[in-house]
Amino acid sequence: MKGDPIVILLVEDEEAHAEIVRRNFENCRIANQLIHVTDGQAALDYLYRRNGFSEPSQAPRPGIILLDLRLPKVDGLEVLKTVKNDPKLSAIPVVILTTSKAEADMVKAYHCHANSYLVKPVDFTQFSQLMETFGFYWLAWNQYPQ
Amino acid sequence: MQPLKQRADESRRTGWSFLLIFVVLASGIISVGYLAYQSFERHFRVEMERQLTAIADLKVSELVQWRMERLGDGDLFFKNPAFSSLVRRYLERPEDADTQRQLQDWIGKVQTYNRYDQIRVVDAQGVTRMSIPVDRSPMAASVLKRIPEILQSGQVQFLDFYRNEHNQRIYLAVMIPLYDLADASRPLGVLKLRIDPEVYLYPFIKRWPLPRQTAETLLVRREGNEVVFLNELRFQTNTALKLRAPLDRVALPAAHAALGHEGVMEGLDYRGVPAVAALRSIPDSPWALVARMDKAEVYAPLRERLWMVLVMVIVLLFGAGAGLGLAWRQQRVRFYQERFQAAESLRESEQSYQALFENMLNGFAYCKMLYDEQQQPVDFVYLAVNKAFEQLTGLKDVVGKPVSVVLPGIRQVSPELFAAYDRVATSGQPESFEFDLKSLKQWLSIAVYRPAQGYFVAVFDNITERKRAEVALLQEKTFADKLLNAPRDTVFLLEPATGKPIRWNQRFAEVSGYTDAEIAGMKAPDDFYDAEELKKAQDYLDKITSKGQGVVELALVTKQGLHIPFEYVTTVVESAEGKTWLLSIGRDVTERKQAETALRESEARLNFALEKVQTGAWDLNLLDHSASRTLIHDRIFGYTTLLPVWTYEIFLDHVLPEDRAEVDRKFREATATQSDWNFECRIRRTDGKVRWIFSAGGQERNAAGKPVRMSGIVQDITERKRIEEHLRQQEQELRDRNAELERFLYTVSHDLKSPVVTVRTFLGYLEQDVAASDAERTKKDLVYIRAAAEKMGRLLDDVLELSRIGRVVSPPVRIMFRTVIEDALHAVAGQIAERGVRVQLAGEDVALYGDRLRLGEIWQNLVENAVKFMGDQPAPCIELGWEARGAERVFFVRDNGIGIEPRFQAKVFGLFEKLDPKAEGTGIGLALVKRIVELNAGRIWLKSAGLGHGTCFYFTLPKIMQQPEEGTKP
Repeated sequence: MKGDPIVILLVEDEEAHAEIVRRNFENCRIANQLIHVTDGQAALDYLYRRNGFSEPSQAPRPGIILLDLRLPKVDGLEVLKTVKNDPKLSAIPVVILTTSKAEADMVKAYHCHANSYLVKPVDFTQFSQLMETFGFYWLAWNQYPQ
Repeated sequence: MQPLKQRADESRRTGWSFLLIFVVLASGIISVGYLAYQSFERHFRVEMERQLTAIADLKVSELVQWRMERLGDGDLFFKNPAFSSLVRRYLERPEDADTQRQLQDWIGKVQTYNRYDQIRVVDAQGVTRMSIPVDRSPMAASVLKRIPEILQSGQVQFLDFYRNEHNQRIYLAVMIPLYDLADASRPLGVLKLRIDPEVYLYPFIKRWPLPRQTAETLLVRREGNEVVFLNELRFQTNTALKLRAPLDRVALPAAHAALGHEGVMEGLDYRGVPAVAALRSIPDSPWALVARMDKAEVYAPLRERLWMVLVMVIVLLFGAGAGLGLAWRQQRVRFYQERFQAAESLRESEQSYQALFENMLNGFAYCKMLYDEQQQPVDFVYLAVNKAFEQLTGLKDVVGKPVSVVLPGIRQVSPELFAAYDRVATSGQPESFEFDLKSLKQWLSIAVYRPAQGYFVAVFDNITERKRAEVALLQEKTFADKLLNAPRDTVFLLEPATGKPIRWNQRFAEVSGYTDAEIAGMKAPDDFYDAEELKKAQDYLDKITSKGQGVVELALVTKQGLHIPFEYVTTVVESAEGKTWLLSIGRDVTERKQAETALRESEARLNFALEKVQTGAWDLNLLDHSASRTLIHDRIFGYTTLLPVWTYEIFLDHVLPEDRAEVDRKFREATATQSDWNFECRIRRTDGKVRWIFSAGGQERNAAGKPVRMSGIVQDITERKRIEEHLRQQEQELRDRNAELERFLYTVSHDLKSPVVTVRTFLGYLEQDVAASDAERTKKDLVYIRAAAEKMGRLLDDVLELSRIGRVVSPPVRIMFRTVIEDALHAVAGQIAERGVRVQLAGEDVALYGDRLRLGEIWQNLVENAVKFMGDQPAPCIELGWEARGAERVFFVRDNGIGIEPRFQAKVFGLFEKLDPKAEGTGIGLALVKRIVELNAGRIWLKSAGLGHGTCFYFTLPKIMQQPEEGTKP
């Protein structure tokens, strides 16, 4: 681990699911800063530092984005497209974390250059394992440019 | 000279005959003249005598009349009692003035009116008692002497001419004896009416009704043996009662008259001059009348006539003599002229014969035949030849030479020539023949005659050229015949005036089936065509005769009765005699006809097919854009009958303006690239209806490759379009429905899965937290679990509700708009009151037909939604109503709440979509509304200027605006 730990941006409208993510990170001792926004609009506002996220210290650039697809106001897919079409943001890995197993959603996400597609498991243990694996993979093994 | 002598005799004879003619003519003229004069003279004499007699008769009757009148005057007084008594009174009392005056009156009147010279009353003693006019002189003695006799006779008496010795004048008188009637016939006296002949009688006698020089009338009476002239004469004075002549002077007409002779006579008159006279006695008188004229005057016209006749005869004689002389002279002139001409022509004839001989084109050879002892011809000698002979034969200086020298071997080469010459020289029968003279390599036409026994003359012509031409002609004819018979076409030459076939080729004979002999006896066109074709054929031939050329199609009837269609091309040719002939070249067009028939049938089949599929056909002329079409084509454009004119431009006018440019562009592109023209477009028919048509056309090029025509078909595809559109809509609907279903399933699966994940995960945490006895966390876990379970319950309820909308349908009912609104407001009355929202209604009440519950849900959800998103609006207000937009009724629900940003407006109708995650509800409200609206064939949309500007939802409900056909009324 070099430098500062990367910031994780979680875009999740369901408060319960955000809590699950948070608890799993805690259990796995992932100390990275987790920033949670509840809709697509807020996510974009955060990334572009506007509408309440204008202070750079309050809105550090995330190293990875955990993105739900079904979001109020602006859809997750829209957020993904915006990020991947912006050269300043497109380098940020976006991991889709959704309940949808629909093939169409997956294809669309990958077409929009999603870096990974994870389906929320219904089983408690699996969800924990998924989050653990996510932590190892994206936060431990995965290398990021400076 | 013989003829000349004859001519001289002839001339002499002609001279004598001229003289004879003259004598006959002259005697004729003289006889006619004489007879004419005789006849005239006879007639003239008769005429003159009649004239004289007529004048004499006239005078006699007048004289008789005159005497009777005079005696009539006498009768007036004779035995007149009044007059007698008046005279008696006067004689008794002469002093009685009254009586005197009465008598004077009476007598005076008679004297004056009847022009009596004097009237005297004489008493019985002869004493004049009264005289009117008054005359003192006594009466003439001769008269006086007669008084007693008169008184005695008791009759009125006429006193003839007498001379009064007192005045020497001549008088006549009427003597009337007067008697006293009271005293039976006592003589009173005599009334004497004296007449002066100078007054009337003499002038009357003298008067001649015609102007004549010597004519006069004489009045005579006999006195004894003498004739006394009673009047004054024309050529002698003082003759009355004085001139006398003896009665025996027989030449004197007066003497004859006095003797009582009547008639016309010639004699010497009183002067001794010859005269012609008509004699008449005057009845009841002693007088005789002589009307006479000098003979000289009477016959003067006769003499004139005689002279005239004489002059005419002489003139005619001279004329005849001169005419005959002239004719004779001309005869003589002609005679000498003819003699001169005869001599001249003889000389010319000799000259011309010589010239002819020398210059004639025919060769001429005068030869003597030579015979051997057996009288067989062995040779002949040329005695004379002309120049042409030398030129034609090329032989020179042949005269005097035998032919065996001139043309050695000719007798062996051409023995028949020799034989012919011999025949003529022997028999004298002229011969002419054509001969191929091989010695000279020439064809000769030879005429041979014999001038004398043993001699012959050969006149010949070189006909080598002609022979060659004949051969060439024969070849030409053979060639023409071959040419005539070579083609498959028939050739037929006929004389149109008679219909007589002149020539025809073998082909015609073969086709018609007749032999040449049969054809020659037939009549064209009559014998070769059916009656119904004949008129056409005859018209055609007449047209050819007048116009010179033409084509016709006729069915030739063969001998076997077959009908073969022929196409004829005919031209007028002129025969050698100048007759008009027609040359017809015929071509068997059976195959073409069959092809035409096949084409027609094929066309008919095509038309049948086109009609069956209701497809119009068109044929467009690309040069002028005119088009021919089928009836179906025009019907497609709304016309009941075929328009007289159709053009590309007319078609384009029918195309709707919005399609027109595209159709025209395709047309221009097709013509420019020479490709097909296929298009669909809308047209406005003539009855105003808009229809869809489909048309496809291909181009036809002319020989130069330039497109000249485009032909194609047109169909009315409105029905197809309608069905297509319907299918498309259905397909779209189906797609929409599928997409919606997919979205629904996706949404449901995702949104339902989400609480399941929450529940199960937190159940896991709950187990851990219970095990770890972490009460704080356990409580938290349970909150999450409950919330998720509740949410899942709500979602399931909503899904059920949504699914019901499409499936559970109540029958439509009539319900008023206001009633529906009231239902909806009642349902959300609590929320409205809680937020203090003012609700306004706009638009009139209107009847709707539909499911009351569902309709209510629309407004209920919208109002609920509006109240929910009022934000911090201090004066919240919701406006409900409808407005008319064209034919549509658009309902609206307007609020002055937080509004919706434009970019989120599309999302709001999505299932379980919530713009604000913290807002109450699952986010099904607007999805529900949309579903109900769409089930009623309506649309829903919203308008909002953005956050803080309020929102207005609009929607239409076409289905509920009209009463359903099977609708039930409340």
